[in-house]
Amino acid sequence: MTSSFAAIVAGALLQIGTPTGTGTGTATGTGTATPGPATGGGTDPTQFTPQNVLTAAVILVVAYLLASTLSLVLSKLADRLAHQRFRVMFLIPIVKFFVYGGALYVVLRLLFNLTQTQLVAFAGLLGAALGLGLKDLLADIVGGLVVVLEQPFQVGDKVQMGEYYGEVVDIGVRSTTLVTPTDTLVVVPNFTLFNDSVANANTSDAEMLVVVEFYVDPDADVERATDIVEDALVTSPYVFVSDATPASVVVEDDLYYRTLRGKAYVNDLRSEVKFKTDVTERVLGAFDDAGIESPKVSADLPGE
Amino acid sequence: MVSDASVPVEDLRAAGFGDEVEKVATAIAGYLDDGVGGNVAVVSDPYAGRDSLLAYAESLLDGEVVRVDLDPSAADGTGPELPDPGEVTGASDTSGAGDPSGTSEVEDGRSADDGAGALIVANCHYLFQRRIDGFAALDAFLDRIALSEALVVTSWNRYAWSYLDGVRDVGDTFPATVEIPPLDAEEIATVVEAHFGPDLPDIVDTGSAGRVKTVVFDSREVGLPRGRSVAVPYPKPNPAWTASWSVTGEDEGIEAVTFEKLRRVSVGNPGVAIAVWEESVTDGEIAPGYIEGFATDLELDDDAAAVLWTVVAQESVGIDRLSALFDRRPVEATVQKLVERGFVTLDDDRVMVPPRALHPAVVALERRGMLW
Repeated sequence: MTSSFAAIVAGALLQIGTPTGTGTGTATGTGTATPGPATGGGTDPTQFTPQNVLTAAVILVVAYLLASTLSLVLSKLADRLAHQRFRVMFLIPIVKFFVYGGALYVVLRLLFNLTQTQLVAFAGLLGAALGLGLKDLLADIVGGLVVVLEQPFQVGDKVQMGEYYGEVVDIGVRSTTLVTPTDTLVVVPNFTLFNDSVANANTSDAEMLVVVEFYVDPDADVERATDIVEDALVTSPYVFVSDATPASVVVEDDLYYRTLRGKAYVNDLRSEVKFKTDVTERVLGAFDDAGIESPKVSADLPGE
Repeated sequence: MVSDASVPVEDLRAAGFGDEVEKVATAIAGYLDDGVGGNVAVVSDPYAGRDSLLAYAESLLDGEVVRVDLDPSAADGTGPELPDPGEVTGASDTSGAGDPSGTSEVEDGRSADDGAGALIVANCHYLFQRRIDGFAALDAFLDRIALSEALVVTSWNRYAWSYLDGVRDVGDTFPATVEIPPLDAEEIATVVEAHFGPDLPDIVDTGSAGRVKTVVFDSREVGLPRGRSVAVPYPKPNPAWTASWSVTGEDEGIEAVTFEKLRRVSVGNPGVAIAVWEESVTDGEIAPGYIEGFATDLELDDDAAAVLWTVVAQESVGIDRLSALFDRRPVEATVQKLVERGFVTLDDDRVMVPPRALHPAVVALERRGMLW
């Protein structure tokens, strides 16, 4: 199986490497020559022989398997690196684009001779295809290229794309896949990048800012409450604190309540939910112990 | 209680820690000359020799100092009090800081001639607990010494220090910070020879050097656009192996391989190296193949990581304290799992990291981003 694959691909590359436009001929018994399959420059610009079509299909399948395997290997390697996984993850879309791009190049060279004339013909065909409804697909592919070249986000980042927020688990040629905090897989077309803003919460760092909010009664001891929230933030096992990534608590006053907004970085963005839960549970317990009450619903409020 | 006093300061100095020893000596000389102290922090991994530096500081002060050895109960109090130069110096409180003042058991002291007094506090990583309201003792102690003219020499666990420097800026209170770096193979050999004396066990060639590698991989940061960087590994020849008996035929080569193996297993930690050396001697002989590293690839879950961080950063923690600290986590089951895998030992209800497991535990916590 492997050797036949190799033979087919090698044959394809050999054909690509053969100078085009010379044609090949087979001598007949009557002394006349019949043209063989044209290899470009002749009257037939394409090489749509059954063998070439089969070869192209095999190349695409091999490219798919190779891209999937490399992606899997890099993902496993990234998982082993844990906190340092972003050093590897950014390679995944680049590798995939190189593999698919290379395969596409080989297939086009195999099936079409991209002389100027045929390039124009191909472009015309492409234009027609776009007109027939492949516009979105092309926009997705260009969006994918932009993601690879500009890297507004990488695999592993937490992003808001359109109405969806989650961790990027795959960047494909056509779409980007997110996993939301509720463990839902969302496939977002890459052209979303052109139509909508994309918010990246961590810009390819493992650490990410997380905000946890608490509301206390205006009569509560806010200073004590602030100390409790700050301690809860910096003692969480999921926190990361440095001079560049400090933990802080912001207090905001309102008529009926005060808001304590705790801000701290988690050491791994995958711990975002666990961090929020850990901090919230301990803060609420400490608020109870310290007699810090939640806001009371005022009877003056409309609807009460 | 974990002690790393098994590495005498002479050994550390001989091994190349002259600069670190001199920093301590300079701070003490300033106090002895002018009577004006300062705050000194000696920071190291467990077992790496910080107790030796404190003992050295104590000897330089020639008895005119109060020494307090903290234990985990220190977090319940308000930290050690500064010595009163008119009353008590020259004594030790080895009871830890279960007594919040840290001085009530200090007796038989001598009056200081001048100066604001000198205080040595060992194991300051016991001054906090990683929980809400767990920093009161630390904060009180730091406030007390910040504007004091006393000489305060303290020792800290490296990982607790890094954490506290992040969340409490402890480094700001200690202008003189002495960090004990890891040793190389030659320095490890010096420490071992100084510790065990000249009659070391025979170093033999068993034909197997264990897992000493001819080529080791190091990595270098390469900058990428937009301020990013990537660590690119590159091969580097291992000089100890290259110079080994197996390659050169020289008798001393096997010694180089042995100590390189010891350095690799101990990650340059002198206390760990001594412990591993003792464990590796077999029938009065030692060989590179006898020195085995800790062969467990530890994957930590959240509970195990939280417990292990506490034990690594505080070095010796009672089960009851762990249970109180993590009241919503299955502490006993987690400790049992860590004990079974050899990452901690349980001795008289105290949980500790044994020397050989220290580095693998640190690596596992670093992989989770818990050590800064």
